[in-house]
Amino acid sequence: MSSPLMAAFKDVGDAIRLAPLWWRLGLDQTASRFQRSILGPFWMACNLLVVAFALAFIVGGLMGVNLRESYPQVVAGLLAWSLVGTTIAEAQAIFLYNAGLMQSQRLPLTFYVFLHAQKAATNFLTQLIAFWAMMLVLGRFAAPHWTLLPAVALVLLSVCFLGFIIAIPSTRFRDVAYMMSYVVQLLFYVTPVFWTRAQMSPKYRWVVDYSPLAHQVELLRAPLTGHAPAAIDWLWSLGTVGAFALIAIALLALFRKRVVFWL
Amino acid sequence: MTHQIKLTNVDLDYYVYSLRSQSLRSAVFNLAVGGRMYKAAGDVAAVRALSEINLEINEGDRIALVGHNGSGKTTLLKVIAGIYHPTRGELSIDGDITSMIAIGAGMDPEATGLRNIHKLGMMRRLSRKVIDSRIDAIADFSGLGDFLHLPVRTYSAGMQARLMFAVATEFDADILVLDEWLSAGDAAFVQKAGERMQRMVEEAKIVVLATHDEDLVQRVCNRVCELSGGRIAFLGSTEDWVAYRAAAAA
Repeated sequence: MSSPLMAAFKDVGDAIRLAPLWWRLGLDQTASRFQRSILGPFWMACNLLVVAFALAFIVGGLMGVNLRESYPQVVAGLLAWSLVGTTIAEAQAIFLYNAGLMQSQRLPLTFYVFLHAQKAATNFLTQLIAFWAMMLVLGRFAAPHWTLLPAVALVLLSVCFLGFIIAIPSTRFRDVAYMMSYVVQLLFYVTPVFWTRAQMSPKYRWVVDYSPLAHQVELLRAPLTGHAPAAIDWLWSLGTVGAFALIAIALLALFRKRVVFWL
Repeated sequence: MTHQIKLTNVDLDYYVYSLRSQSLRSAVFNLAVGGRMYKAAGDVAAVRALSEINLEINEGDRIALVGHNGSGKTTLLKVIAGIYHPTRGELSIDGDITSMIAIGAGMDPEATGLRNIHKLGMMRRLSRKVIDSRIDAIADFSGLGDFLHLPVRTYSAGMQARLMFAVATEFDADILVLDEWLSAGDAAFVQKAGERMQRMVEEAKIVVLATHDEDLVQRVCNRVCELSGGRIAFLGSTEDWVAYRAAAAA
Protein backbone atom coordinates (compact mmCIF):
# COMPACT_ATOMS: atom_id res chain seq x y z
CA MET A 1 0.00 0.00 0.00
CA SER A 2 1.41 3.36 -1.00
CA SER A 3 0.75 6.34 1.21
CA PRO A 4 -1.93 8.87 0.22
CA LEU A 5 0.79 11.48 -0.28
CA MET A 6 2.67 9.31 -2.76
CA ALA A 7 -0.62 8.59 -4.50
CA ALA A 8 -1.25 12.34 -4.77
CA PHE A 9 2.15 12.90 -6.41
CA LYS A 10 1.50 9.96 -8.72
CA ASP A 11 -1.84 11.55 -9.65
CA VAL A 12 -0.06 14.77 -10.64
CA GLY A 13 2.61 12.83 -12.55
CA ASP A 14 0.01 10.81 -14.46
CA ALA A 15 -1.80 14.03 -15.39
CA ILE A 16 1.44 15.58 -16.68
CA ARG A 17 1.94 12.56 -18.93
CA LEU A 18 -1.59 13.10 -20.26
CA ALA A 19 -0.68 16.61 -21.45
CA PRO A 20 -1.51 15.96 -25.12
CA LEU A 21 -4.99 14.82 -24.08
CA TRP A 22 -5.94 17.76 -21.84
CA TRP A 23 -4.39 20.11 -24.35
CA ARG A 24 -6.65 18.84 -27.14
CA LEU A 25 -9.69 18.46 -24.90
CA GLY A 26 -9.25 22.00 -23.56
CA LEU A 27 -9.20 23.47 -27.07
CA ASP A 28 -12.17 21.29 -27.98
CA GLN A 29 -14.19 22.42 -24.95
CA THR A 30 -13.34 26.05 -25.66
CA ALA A 31 -14.43 25.66 -29.26
CA SER A 32 -17.66 23.89 -28.37
CA ARG A 33 -18.56 26.65 -25.89
CA PHE A 34 -18.95 28.95 -28.86
CA GLN A 35 -20.59 26.47 -31.20
CA ARG A 36 -23.16 27.92 -33.58
CA SER A 37 -21.90 31.47 -33.00
CA ILE A 38 -20.33 33.40 -35.84
CA LEU A 39 -17.52 35.11 -33.91
CA GLY A 40 -16.68 31.91 -32.03
CA PRO A 41 -13.89 32.21 -29.44
CA PHE A 42 -13.49 35.90 -30.31
CA TRP A 43 -16.45 36.51 -28.02
CA MET A 44 -13.91 36.04 -25.22
CA ALA A 45 -11.95 38.99 -26.60
CA CYS A 46 -15.11 41.11 -26.95
CA ASN A 47 -15.67 40.67 -23.24
CA LEU A 48 -12.39 42.45 -22.53
CA LEU A 49 -13.05 45.25 -25.04
CA VAL A 50 -16.51 46.08 -23.74
CA VAL A 51 -15.67 46.01 -20.03
CA ALA A 52 -12.45 47.95 -20.64
CA PHE A 53 -14.34 50.65 -22.47
CA ALA A 54 -17.08 50.90 -19.85
CA LEU A 55 -14.67 50.98 -16.92
CA ALA A 56 -12.29 53.47 -18.51
CA PHE A 57 -15.28 55.71 -19.24
CA ILE A 58 -16.40 55.59 -15.61
CA VAL A 59 -12.93 55.91 -14.13
CA GLY A 60 -12.05 58.73 -16.51
CA GLY A 61 -15.40 60.46 -16.13
CA LEU A 62 -16.04 60.17 -12.41
CA MET A 63 -12.55 60.42 -11.06
CA GLY A 64 -11.40 63.06 -13.47
CA VAL A 65 -8.35 61.11 -14.54
CA ASN A 66 -7.38 61.62 -18.14
CA LEU A 67 -8.87 58.74 -20.10
CA ARG A 68 -5.82 58.43 -22.31
CA GLU A 69 -3.62 58.02 -19.24
CA SER A 70 -5.67 55.45 -17.38
CA TYR A 71 -6.83 53.39 -20.32
CA PRO A 72 -3.83 51.04 -20.90
CA GLN A 73 -3.50 50.60 -17.13
CA VAL A 74 -7.15 49.64 -16.70
CA VAL A 75 -7.25 47.31 -19.69
CA ALA A 76 -3.99 45.60 -18.74
CA GLY A 77 -5.35 45.23 -15.21
CA LEU A 78 -8.55 43.65 -16.53
CA LEU A 79 -6.54 41.32 -18.71
CA ALA A 80 -4.45 40.30 -15.69
CA TRP A 81 -7.61 39.86 -13.62
CA SER A 82 -9.08 37.50 -16.21
CA LEU A 83 -6.25 35.10 -15.39
CA VAL A 84 -5.81 35.84 -11.69
CA GLY A 85 -9.39 36.37 -10.52
CA THR A 86 -11.94 35.07 -13.00
CA THR A 87 -10.33 31.63 -12.90
CA ILE A 88 -11.19 31.47 -9.17
CA ALA A 89 -14.87 31.75 -10.03
CA GLU A 90 -14.51 29.15 -12.76
CA ALA A 91 -12.55 26.76 -10.54
CA GLN A 92 -15.64 25.76 -8.54
CA ALA A 93 -16.94 23.92 -11.62
CA ILE A 94 -13.74 22.02 -12.45
CA PHE A 95 -15.13 18.66 -11.37
CA LEU A 96 -18.84 19.43 -11.69
CA TYR A 97 -18.47 20.44 -15.35
CA ASN A 98 -16.65 17.21 -16.16
CA ALA A 99 -18.88 14.98 -14.02
CA GLY A 100 -19.92 12.87 -17.02
CA LEU A 101 -16.32 12.24 -18.02
CA MET A 102 -15.25 11.51 -14.44
CA GLN A 103 -17.93 8.87 -14.11
CA SER A 104 -17.12 7.15 -17.36
CA GLN A 105 -13.36 7.17 -17.79
CA ARG A 106 -10.39 6.67 -15.51
CA LEU A 107 -8.32 9.84 -15.45
CA PRO A 108 -6.25 11.36 -12.64
CA LEU A 109 -8.00 14.10 -10.67
CA THR A 110 -5.19 16.52 -11.55
CA PHE A 111 -6.11 16.02 -15.22
CA TYR A 112 -9.23 18.13 -14.76
CA VAL A 113 -7.27 20.87 -13.00
CA PHE A 114 -4.80 21.03 -15.89
CA LEU A 115 -7.74 21.09 -18.28
CA HIS A 116 -9.07 24.11 -16.39
CA ALA A 117 -5.66 25.82 -16.56
CA GLN A 118 -5.41 25.08 -20.28
CA LYS A 119 -8.77 26.75 -20.91
CA ALA A 120 -7.73 29.71 -18.76
CA ALA A 121 -4.49 30.05 -20.74
CA THR A 122 -6.35 29.90 -24.06
CA ASN A 123 -8.76 32.55 -22.85
CA PHE A 124 -5.87 34.73 -21.67
CA LEU A 125 -4.06 34.40 -24.99
CA THR A 126 -7.15 35.40 -26.98
CA GLN A 127 -7.64 38.46 -24.79
CA LEU A 128 -3.94 39.28 -24.98
CA ILE A 129 -4.18 39.47 -28.76
CA ALA A 130 -7.25 41.69 -28.44
CA PHE A 131 -5.37 43.86 -25.95
CA TRP A 132 -2.41 44.39 -28.27
CA ALA A 133 -4.68 45.03 -31.23
CA MET A 134 -6.61 47.60 -29.23
CA MET A 135 -3.44 49.35 -28.03
CA LEU A 136 -2.07 49.45 -31.59
CA VAL A 137 -5.27 51.05 -32.86
CA LEU A 138 -5.16 53.63 -30.06
CA GLY A 139 -1.49 54.31 -30.66
CA ARG A 140 -0.69 53.32 -27.06
CA PHE A 141 1.10 50.05 -27.79
CA ALA A 142 4.01 49.35 -25.45
CA ALA A 143 6.37 46.46 -26.19
CA PRO A 144 5.86 43.90 -23.42
CA HIS A 145 8.71 43.34 -20.99
CA TRP A 146 10.32 39.87 -21.27
CA THR A 147 9.25 39.06 -17.69
CA LEU A 148 5.73 38.55 -19.05
CA LEU A 149 6.59 34.93 -19.86
CA PRO A 150 7.78 33.85 -16.39
CA ALA A 151 4.99 35.94 -14.83
CA VAL A 152 2.30 34.14 -16.85
CA ALA A 153 3.91 30.78 -16.04
CA LEU A 154 3.90 31.56 -12.31
CA VAL A 155 0.30 32.77 -12.35
CA LEU A 156 -0.75 29.64 -14.27
CA LEU A 157 0.87 27.52 -11.54
CA SER A 158 -1.16 29.47 -9.03
CA VAL A 159 -4.30 28.84 -11.13
CA CYS A 160 -3.61 25.09 -10.94
CA PHE A 161 -3.06 24.96 -7.18
CA LEU A 162 -5.97 27.30 -6.44
CA GLY A 163 -8.00 25.04 -8.71
CA PHE A 164 -7.65 22.18 -6.24
CA ILE A 165 -8.21 24.44 -3.24
CA ILE A 166 -11.49 25.74 -4.63
CA ALA A 167 -12.80 22.81 -6.65
CA ILE A 168 -12.49 20.13 -3.96
CA PRO A 169 -14.57 21.92 -1.28
CA SER A 170 -16.98 23.24 -3.94
CA THR A 171 -17.76 19.74 -5.10
CA ARG A 172 -18.34 18.53 -1.53
CA PHE A 173 -20.30 21.56 -0.30
CA ARG A 174 -22.37 23.06 -3.07
CA ASP A 175 -22.85 26.27 -1.12
CA VAL A 176 -19.16 27.00 -1.59
CA ALA A 177 -19.70 26.78 -5.34
CA TYR A 178 -22.42 29.44 -5.24
CA MET A 179 -20.45 31.54 -2.80
CA MET A 180 -17.38 31.71 -5.05
CA SER A 181 -18.88 34.04 -7.65
CA TYR A 182 -19.69 36.56 -4.90
CA VAL A 183 -16.30 36.15 -3.27
CA VAL A 184 -14.63 36.88 -6.60
CA GLN A 185 -16.81 39.93 -7.11
CA LEU A 186 -15.73 41.21 -3.72
CA LEU A 187 -12.08 40.44 -4.45
CA PHE A 188 -12.34 42.32 -7.72
CA TYR A 189 -13.37 45.53 -5.97
CA VAL A 190 -10.63 45.32 -3.34
CA THR A 191 -7.95 44.61 -5.95
CA PRO A 192 -6.45 47.63 -7.71
CA VAL A 193 -7.65 46.82 -11.21
CA PHE A 194 -9.35 50.05 -12.23
CA TRP A 195 -7.95 52.09 -9.38
CA THR A 196 -4.37 52.37 -8.15
CA ARG A 197 -2.73 51.83 -4.79
CA ALA A 198 -1.82 55.53 -4.69
CA GLN A 199 -5.48 56.54 -4.90
CA MET A 200 -6.32 54.48 -1.82
CA SER A 201 -6.30 56.27 1.52
CA PRO A 202 -3.10 55.27 3.40
CA LYS A 203 -5.23 53.84 6.24
CA TYR A 204 -6.53 51.10 3.94
CA ARG A 205 -3.44 50.44 1.81
CA TRP A 206 -2.84 47.19 3.67
CA VAL A 207 -5.76 45.79 1.60
CA VAL A 208 -3.45 46.07 -1.39
CA ASP A 209 -0.15 45.36 0.34
CA TYR A 210 -1.28 42.07 1.90
CA SER A 211 -3.41 40.79 -0.97
CA PRO A 212 -1.81 37.92 -2.93
CA LEU A 213 -4.15 38.66 -5.82
CA ALA A 214 -3.12 42.31 -5.99
CA HIS A 215 0.52 41.23 -6.27
CA GLN A 216 -0.32 38.70 -8.99
CA VAL A 217 -2.27 41.31 -10.95
CA GLU A 218 0.67 43.69 -10.67
CA LEU A 219 3.07 40.91 -11.70
CA LEU A 220 1.19 40.61 -14.99
CA ARG A 221 0.23 44.24 -15.48
CA ALA A 222 3.76 45.66 -15.22
CA PRO A 223 5.27 43.62 -18.10
CA LEU A 224 2.09 44.12 -20.14
CA THR A 225 2.62 47.86 -19.96
CA GLY A 226 6.34 47.50 -20.69
CA HIS A 227 7.94 47.54 -17.22
CA ALA A 228 9.58 44.89 -15.06
CA PRO A 229 7.44 43.93 -12.03
CA ALA A 230 8.69 45.04 -8.61
CA ALA A 231 10.69 42.53 -6.56
CA ILE A 232 7.99 42.58 -3.86
CA ASP A 233 5.42 41.31 -6.41
CA TRP A 234 7.71 38.43 -7.35
CA LEU A 235 8.30 37.55 -3.70
CA TRP A 236 4.62 37.63 -2.81
CA SER A 237 3.63 35.63 -5.86
CA LEU A 238 6.31 32.98 -5.32
CA GLY A 239 5.38 32.75 -1.65
CA THR A 240 1.65 32.35 -2.27
CA VAL A 241 2.20 29.80 -5.03
CA GLY A 242 4.33 27.78 -2.59
CA ALA A 243 1.64 27.99 0.09
CA PHE A 244 -1.11 27.10 -2.38
CA ALA A 245 0.96 24.12 -3.56
CA LEU A 246 1.19 22.72 -0.02
CA ILE A 247 -2.54 23.09 0.61
CA ALA A 248 -3.40 21.67 -2.82
CA ILE A 249 -1.25 18.56 -2.36
CA ALA A 250 -2.69 18.01 1.12
CA LEU A 251 -6.25 18.24 -0.20
CA LEU A 252 -5.43 15.93 -3.08
CA ALA A 253 -3.87 13.37 -0.75
CA LEU A 254 -6.83 13.46 1.63
CA PHE A 255 -9.76 13.51 -0.78
CA ARG A 256 -8.51 12.09 -4.09
CA LYS A 257 -10.63 8.95 -3.86
CA ARG A 258 -13.70 10.70 -2.52
CA VAL A 259 -14.30 13.45 -5.08
CA VAL A 260 -16.00 11.15 -7.61
CA PHE A 261 -18.65 10.26 -5.01
CA TRP A 262 -19.45 13.91 -4.41
CA LEU A 263 -20.52 14.58 -7.98
CA MET B 1 1.98 -9.30 -22.19
CA THR B 2 -0.88 -11.17 -20.59
CA HIS B 3 -3.92 -9.24 -19.57
CA GLN B 4 -5.61 -9.81 -16.27
CA ILE B 5 -8.00 -8.19 -13.82
CA LYS B 6 -7.82 -9.28 -10.22
CA LEU B 7 -9.97 -8.14 -7.33
CA THR B 8 -9.11 -9.33 -3.83
CA ASN B 9 -11.56 -8.76 -0.98
CA VAL B 10 -12.84 -5.57 -2.53
CA ASP B 11 -15.38 -3.54 -0.58
CA LEU B 12 -16.89 -0.38 -1.89
CA ASP B 13 -18.81 2.09 0.24
CA TYR B 14 -20.78 4.62 -1.69
CA TYR B 15 -20.99 7.85 0.30
CA VAL B 16 -24.07 9.94 -0.07
CA TYR B 17 -23.69 13.48 1.15
CA SER B 18 -26.28 15.84 2.58
CA LEU B 19 -29.41 14.07 3.72
CA ARG B 20 -31.62 16.62 2.04
CA SER B 21 -30.19 16.16 -1.40
CA GLN B 22 -31.79 14.57 -4.40
CA SER B 23 -29.08 11.92 -4.46
CA LEU B 24 -30.08 10.68 -1.02
CA ARG B 25 -33.61 10.11 -2.13
CA SER B 26 -32.31 7.92 -4.90
CA ALA B 27 -30.06 6.10 -2.43
CA VAL B 28 -33.04 5.31 -0.21
CA PHE B 29 -34.79 4.11 -3.30
CA ASN B 30 -31.82 1.84 -4.01
CA LEU B 31 -32.27 0.31 -0.58
CA ALA B 32 -35.70 -0.89 -1.58
CA VAL B 33 -34.26 -2.56 -4.64
CA GLY B 34 -31.13 -4.10 -3.22
CA GLY B 35 -28.31 -1.90 -1.88
CA ARG B 36 -27.35 -2.17 1.77
CA MET B 37 -27.53 1.15 3.48
CA TYR B 38 -26.26 2.05 6.84
CA LYS B 39 -25.78 5.31 8.62
CA ALA B 40 -22.38 6.87 8.87
CA ALA B 41 -21.62 9.93 11.00
CA GLY B 42 -23.74 13.06 10.75
CA ASP B 43 -25.02 14.17 7.42
CA VAL B 44 -23.33 11.43 5.47
CA ALA B 45 -24.96 8.15 4.58
CA ALA B 46 -22.95 5.22 3.31
CA VAL B 47 -24.24 2.50 1.05
CA ARG B 48 -22.25 -0.71 1.04
CA ALA B 49 -22.43 -1.21 -2.71
CA LEU B 50 -19.93 -4.10 -2.94
CA SER B 51 -18.61 -6.39 -0.27
CA GLU B 52 -15.90 -9.02 -0.29
CA ILE B 53 -15.60 -9.27 -4.05
CA ASN B 54 -12.98 -11.82 -5.11
CA LEU B 55 -12.75 -12.08 -8.84
CA GLU B 56 -10.05 -13.03 -11.28
CA ILE B 57 -10.63 -12.34 -14.97
CA ASN B 58 -8.05 -13.75 -17.36
CA GLU B 59 -7.15 -13.40 -20.99
CA GLY B 60 -9.83 -14.74 -23.28
CA ASP B 61 -12.63 -14.27 -20.77
CA ARG B 62 -15.89 -12.75 -21.81
CA ILE B 63 -17.49 -12.35 -18.44
CA ALA B 64 -21.10 -11.30 -17.90
CA LEU B 65 -22.13 -9.47 -14.76
CA VAL B 66 -25.74 -10.26 -14.00
CA GLY B 67 -28.09 -9.52 -11.13
CA HIS B 68 -31.23 -7.47 -10.58
CA ASN B 69 -31.30 -3.67 -10.44
CA GLY B 70 -29.18 -2.32 -7.61
CA SER B 71 -27.22 -5.52 -7.12
CA GLY B 72 -23.93 -3.72 -7.81
CA LYS B 73 -23.25 -4.51 -11.47
CA THR B 74 -22.51 -0.99 -12.63
CA THR B 75 -20.57 -0.23 -9.44
CA LEU B 76 -18.38 -3.26 -10.03
CA LEU B 77 -17.86 -2.16 -13.64
CA LYS B 78 -16.81 1.27 -12.40
CA VAL B 79 -14.35 -0.29 -9.94
CA ILE B 80 -12.87 -2.40 -12.73
CA ALA B 81 -12.70 0.64 -15.00
CA GLY B 82 -10.79 2.53 -12.29
CA ILE B 83 -13.46 5.18 -11.79
CA TYR B 84 -14.25 4.20 -8.19
CA HIS B 85 -11.38 3.33 -5.89
CA PRO B 86 -12.11 0.35 -3.60
CA THR B 87 -12.75 1.35 0.01
CA ARG B 88 -10.92 -1.79 1.14
CA GLY B 89 -9.16 -4.57 -0.70
CA GLU B 90 -6.83 -4.76 -3.66
CA LEU B 91 -7.43 -4.26 -7.34
CA SER B 92 -4.82 -5.02 -9.94
CA ILE B 93 -5.23 -4.51 -13.66
CA ASP B 94 -2.85 -5.46 -16.45
CA GLY B 95 -3.91 -4.00 -19.76
CA ASP B 96 -5.39 -0.94 -21.35
CA ILE B 97 -9.05 -0.45 -20.48
CA THR B 98 -11.74 0.97 -22.72
CA SER B 99 -14.88 1.57 -20.75
CA MET B 100 -18.27 2.37 -22.20
CA ILE B 101 -20.36 2.67 -19.10
CA ALA B 102 -22.91 5.40 -19.65
CA ILE B 103 -24.63 5.80 -22.96
CA GLY B 104 -23.69 9.12 -24.51
CA ALA B 105 -20.78 9.71 -22.09
CA GLY B 106 -18.00 11.69 -23.71
CA MET B 107 -20.20 12.69 -26.62
CA ASP B 108 -21.15 16.26 -27.39
CA PRO B 109 -24.86 16.32 -28.25
CA GLU B 110 -24.47 19.46 -30.36
CA ALA B 111 -21.76 17.98 -32.58
CA THR B 112 -22.35 15.65 -35.49
CA GLY B 113 -21.84 11.90 -35.32
CA LEU B 114 -18.61 12.19 -37.29
CA ARG B 115 -17.20 14.84 -34.98
CA ASN B 116 -18.14 12.71 -32.00
CA ILE B 117 -16.21 9.78 -33.48
CA HIS B 118 -13.19 12.09 -33.48
CA LYS B 119 -13.98 13.19 -29.93
CA LEU B 120 -14.29 9.64 -28.62
CA GLY B 121 -11.11 8.67 -30.47
CA MET B 122 -9.34 11.66 -28.98
CA MET B 123 -10.35 10.56 -25.47
CA ARG B 124 -8.69 7.26 -26.30
CA ARG B 125 -5.49 9.23 -26.99
CA LEU B 126 -5.43 8.43 -30.69
CA SER B 127 -3.94 10.73 -33.28
CA ARG B 128 -6.15 12.40 -35.84
CA LYS B 129 -4.51 10.26 -38.52
CA VAL B 130 -5.40 6.99 -36.83
CA ILE B 131 -8.97 8.13 -36.28
CA ASP B 132 -9.33 9.23 -39.91
CA SER B 133 -8.03 5.90 -41.14
CA ARG B 134 -10.71 4.04 -39.18
CA ILE B 135 -13.61 6.36 -39.68
CA ASP B 136 -15.06 4.51 -42.65
CA ALA B 137 -14.99 1.22 -40.79
CA ILE B 138 -16.74 2.82 -37.83
CA ALA B 139 -19.38 4.46 -40.00
CA ASP B 140 -19.94 1.17 -41.74
CA PHE B 141 -20.24 -0.89 -38.57
CA SER B 142 -22.54 1.59 -36.86
CA GLY B 143 -24.89 1.39 -39.87
CA LEU B 144 -25.86 5.02 -39.30
CA GLY B 145 -25.11 6.18 -42.85
CA ASP B 146 -26.10 9.79 -43.50
CA PHE B 147 -27.25 10.22 -39.90
CA LEU B 148 -23.54 10.66 -39.05
CA HIS B 149 -23.80 14.17 -40.48
CA LEU B 150 -26.54 15.11 -38.00
CA PRO B 151 -25.99 16.32 -34.42
CA VAL B 152 -26.00 13.51 -31.89
CA ARG B 153 -28.86 15.15 -29.96
CA THR B 154 -31.15 14.04 -32.77
CA TYR B 155 -30.18 10.38 -32.24
CA SER B 156 -32.27 7.79 -30.43
CA ALA B 157 -30.70 5.81 -27.56
CA GLY B 158 -30.26 2.86 -29.91
CA MET B 159 -28.43 5.00 -32.46
CA GLN B 160 -26.13 6.41 -29.79
CA ALA B 161 -25.43 2.87 -28.58
CA ARG B 162 -24.51 1.85 -32.14
CA LEU B 163 -22.11 4.75 -32.53
CA MET B 164 -20.45 4.27 -29.15
CA PHE B 165 -20.05 0.54 -29.54
CA ALA B 166 -18.62 0.94 -33.03
CA VAL B 167 -16.02 3.40 -31.74
CA ALA B 168 -15.25 1.39 -28.59
CA THR B 169 -14.51 -1.79 -30.48
CA GLU B 170 -12.88 -0.41 -33.61
CA PHE B 171 -9.86 0.93 -31.79
CA ASP B 172 -7.76 -1.75 -30.14
CA ALA B 173 -8.36 -2.20 -26.45
CA ASP B 174 -7.00 -4.93 -24.21
CA ILE B 175 -9.96 -4.83 -21.89
CA LEU B 176 -13.45 -3.73 -22.90
CA VAL B 177 -15.88 -2.80 -20.13
CA LEU B 178 -19.50 -2.38 -21.25
CA ASP B 179 -22.66 -1.60 -19.32
CA GLU B 180 -26.07 -2.88 -20.26
CA TRP B 181 -26.88 -0.02 -22.66
CA LEU B 182 -25.83 -2.32 -25.48
CA SER B 183 -29.33 -3.77 -25.46
CA ALA B 184 -30.66 -0.35 -26.50
CA GLY B 185 -29.71 -1.42 -30.02
CA ASP B 186 -32.10 -3.52 -32.09
CA ALA B 187 -31.80 -7.30 -32.53
CA ALA B 188 -29.74 -7.05 -35.71
CA PHE B 189 -27.23 -4.77 -34.03
CA VAL B 190 -26.99 -6.85 -30.86
CA GLN B 191 -26.24 -9.84 -33.11
CA LYS B 192 -23.52 -7.91 -34.94
CA ALA B 193 -22.09 -6.62 -31.66
CA GLY B 194 -21.99 -10.13 -30.26
CA GLU B 195 -20.00 -11.36 -33.25
CA ARG B 196 -17.56 -8.53 -32.88
CA MET B 197 -17.03 -9.23 -29.18
CA GLN B 198 -16.35 -12.86 -30.06
CA ARG B 199 -13.72 -11.68 -32.53
CA MET B 200 -12.11 -9.49 -29.86
CA VAL B 201 -11.83 -12.49 -27.58
CA GLU B 202 -10.18 -14.49 -30.33
CA GLU B 203 -7.49 -11.81 -30.21
CA ALA B 204 -7.06 -12.73 -26.54
CA LYS B 205 -8.81 -9.71 -25.12
CA ILE B 206 -11.02 -9.41 -22.06
CA VAL B 207 -14.64 -8.35 -22.23
CA VAL B 208 -16.63 -7.45 -19.11
CA LEU B 209 -20.31 -6.93 -19.86
CA ALA B 210 -23.13 -6.07 -17.49
CA THR B 211 -26.50 -7.15 -18.80
CA HIS B 212 -30.01 -8.40 -18.06
CA ASP B 213 -30.32 -10.19 -21.37
CA GLU B 214 -29.92 -13.93 -20.80
CA ASP B 215 -29.79 -14.65 -24.52
CA LEU B 216 -26.93 -12.20 -24.90
CA VAL B 217 -25.07 -13.84 -22.01
CA GLN B 218 -25.41 -17.27 -23.57
CA ARG B 219 -24.44 -16.09 -27.03
CA VAL B 220 -21.48 -13.93 -26.08
CA CYS B 221 -20.04 -14.83 -22.69
CA ASN B 222 -18.13 -17.83 -21.44
CA ARG B 223 -18.24 -16.87 -17.76
CA VAL B 224 -20.91 -15.38 -15.53
CA CYS B 225 -20.70 -13.51 -12.25
CA GLU B 226 -24.06 -13.04 -10.58
CA LEU B 227 -24.29 -10.32 -7.97
CA SER B 228 -26.87 -10.05 -5.23
CA GLY B 229 -26.90 -7.27 -2.63
CA GLY B 230 -23.34 -6.34 -3.53
CA ARG B 231 -21.95 -9.84 -3.03
CA ILE B 232 -21.04 -12.52 -5.52
CA ALA B 233 -23.90 -15.02 -5.52
CA PHE B 234 -22.60 -17.14 -8.38
CA LEU B 235 -19.34 -17.33 -10.29
CA GLY B 236 -18.69 -19.93 -12.96
CA SER B 237 -19.05 -20.93 -16.59
CA THR B 238 -22.09 -19.95 -18.61
CA GLU B 239 -23.32 -23.58 -18.79
CA ASP B 240 -23.11 -23.92 -15.00
CA TRP B 241 -24.96 -20.63 -14.62
CA VAL B 242 -27.79 -21.80 -16.88
CA ALA B 243 -28.07 -24.93 -14.74
CA TYR B 244 -27.92 -22.83 -11.56
CA ARG B 245 -30.72 -20.62 -12.85
CA ALA B 246 -32.80 -23.61 -13.80
CA ALA B 247 -32.28 -25.11 -10.31
CA ALA B 248 -33.17 -21.78 -8.67
CA ALA B 249 -36.33 -21.52 -10.74
CA ALA B 250 -37.43 -25.09 -9.94
